[in-house]
Amino acid sequence: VSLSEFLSGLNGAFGFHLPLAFFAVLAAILVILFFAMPVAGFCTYLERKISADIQERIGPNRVGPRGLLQFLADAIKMFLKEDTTPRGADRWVFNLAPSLVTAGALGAFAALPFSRFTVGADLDIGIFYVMAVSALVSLGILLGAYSSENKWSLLGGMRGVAQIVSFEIPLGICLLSVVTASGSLNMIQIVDAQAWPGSSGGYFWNIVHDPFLFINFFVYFVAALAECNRTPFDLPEAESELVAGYNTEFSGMRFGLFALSEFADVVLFACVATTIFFGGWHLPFVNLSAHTFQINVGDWNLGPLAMALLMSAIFLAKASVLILIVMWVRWTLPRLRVDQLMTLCWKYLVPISFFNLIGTALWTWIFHGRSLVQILGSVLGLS
Amino acid sequence: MPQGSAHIMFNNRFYLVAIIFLVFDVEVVLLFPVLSLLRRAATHGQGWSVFALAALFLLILLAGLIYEWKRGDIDWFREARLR
Repeated sequence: VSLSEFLSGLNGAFGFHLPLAFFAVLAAILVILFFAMPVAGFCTYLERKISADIQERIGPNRVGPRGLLQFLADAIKMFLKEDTTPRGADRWVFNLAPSLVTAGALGAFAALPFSRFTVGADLDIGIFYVMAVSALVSLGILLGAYSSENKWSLLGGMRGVAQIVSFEIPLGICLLSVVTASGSLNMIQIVDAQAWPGSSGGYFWNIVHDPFLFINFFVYFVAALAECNRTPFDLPEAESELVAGYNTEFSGMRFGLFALSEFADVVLFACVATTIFFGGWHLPFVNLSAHTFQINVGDWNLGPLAMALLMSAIFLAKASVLILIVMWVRWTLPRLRVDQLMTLCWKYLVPISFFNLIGTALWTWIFHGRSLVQILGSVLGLS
Repeated sequence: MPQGSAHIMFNNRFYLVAIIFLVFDVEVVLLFPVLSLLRRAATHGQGWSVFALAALFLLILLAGLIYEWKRGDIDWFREARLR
């Protein structure tokens, strides 16, 4: 049951009926307003705090306890700053670009399965939708870079689009290999295929499905770092050469949208990696999807709600580990050169992910869709 | 103060990367519906037909990659091959 369908269950409770589209939009707004925005904002605080720890500084510690409300203060500051447009800028495109980048980063959150009961839109082509919508980001970056009438912006934008577009190939092939293993494009079905082997036909997490998918996770991780313009690959906004890259001329909340969508991209990547490689809400040795709680409070059964909270907590715990690794990488590795970047993508990641895609397809064909865990289980006589 | 137009000429490697991306992305997208059928076909013993279809497609794609690699289209610096 998707969030929009759940909300449409409220139809008639207040004496009037509304079309399903209204609840679909409402669900999307709820997910973006109460999940994507606060989490992306909190990530800015987290990154400053982690970088402070790694460099033996204190980091933000004034606003709120331990500086926890720093991101709210930053947001208020950005709203109050003057919103300037360069004289030579292409005004219409300049105003459109930050919205496109934000739409690309936040739109994909609608299809993420945080739990079996709380997915914004339960799409049959969920993973395809995520790939398609997050491609909007490169369009927004190019438009913003071109329209701001600044050589640094233009160079940063060109680099950014070349990088995002190149790394989309290994990323897409990794998604394709997961689709091969799980046999579905629906996010909830991909997660449920990764349940602990039992009566429901799961085969445990994709990362241990076979050796090829194990390698493909690391390819996915590197490609996703490049898609988010994170540090080993932050050439588009290399501050030592290009000032700030494509967002040099943006100020106030427009700059804030660029910064926010960058963090939203990191969260999105971590959530997608959790969904397709780490089994979403599934844990070893227990199949949560097969269990139901029964907690009666008056006429209401709070069981599904408790289950949704448990599943979301497991999902978000896995995702936050990945987010922490991304931030750790930022303060560990130096930046690549442009030619090294292209070599890494086209001469290493694309052939490796290709090989692993063929390997996964062979494995699925030869072992009739069974995973390493299932084969080991039957060899050892456990199931 | 800004000097001259910001819309400078750019390296045409960017254009080539975009063209190569277009070919690969379209082919990856076309593989999605085929390979999502593989698991269901394999559990019914029909995996070979889907696998053969996908492998043929992938081999053509791989041949394209090798061709571009040999031509030097995916090298950022190509001074040795300029004639």
